[in-house]
Amino acid sequence: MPLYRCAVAEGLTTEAQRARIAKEIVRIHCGATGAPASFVHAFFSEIPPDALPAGKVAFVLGTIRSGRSDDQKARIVSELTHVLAEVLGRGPDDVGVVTADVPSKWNMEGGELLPEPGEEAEWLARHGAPR
Amino acid sequence: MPHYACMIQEGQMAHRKQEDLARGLRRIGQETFGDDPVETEIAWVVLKQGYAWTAGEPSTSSIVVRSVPVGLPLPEREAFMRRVCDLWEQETGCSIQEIVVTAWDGPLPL
Repeated sequence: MPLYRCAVAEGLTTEAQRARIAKEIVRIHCGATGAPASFVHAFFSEIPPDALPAGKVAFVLGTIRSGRSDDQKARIVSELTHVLAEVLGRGPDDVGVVTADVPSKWNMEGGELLPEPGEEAEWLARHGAPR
Repeated sequence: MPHYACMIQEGQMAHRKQEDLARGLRRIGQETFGDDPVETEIAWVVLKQGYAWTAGEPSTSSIVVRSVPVGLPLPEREAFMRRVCDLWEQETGCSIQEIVVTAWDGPLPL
């Protein structure tokens, strides 16, 4: 956690594009929140274009730990929207990004409940960094 | 209806052990929440190579999300998630770093 689920139109992306988006998600999420990169998952699915929100060729739902500020979430959405558009060679209106808050304690990773935002260092020191 | 969503990597051990994992998830649900195993829905999302990354690198992680009763107390929530982690480690031989479990209050948003 976070888990960024990226739905893209069938045939739209190459593996290289998905890899770049995944790395950008890590950069953007960690830059906005200070979270460890090891927590960041980016999973892609290809779906028929008509199953995406109207007018979109890609849509990302990022489930992130509760406790992030509105500014942090807005920064993630804005930066990721622009990166997606750039990587896919589309306009910002052709892609969509939203985040959804999930309480830390709803999640177990590395065999432990996830720490609250800002308490990661202690958690990682106790349990080791998941890859 | 009890509902799990399991995201796994194509060709990796969790993919090959899907039936055993499904049996284990149904057993855990029955013993933890009193689920009817027959009515338990398990949705598998099998991610092809090149479609999943963790920390920006190709992922070997499985992610299991399960709907649980709203307001489930933390000790029960934690115990449930730990049992799923144990199941994954035992059945697939994965490391504890490769299994992520979410116990989601109410219907799954996925």
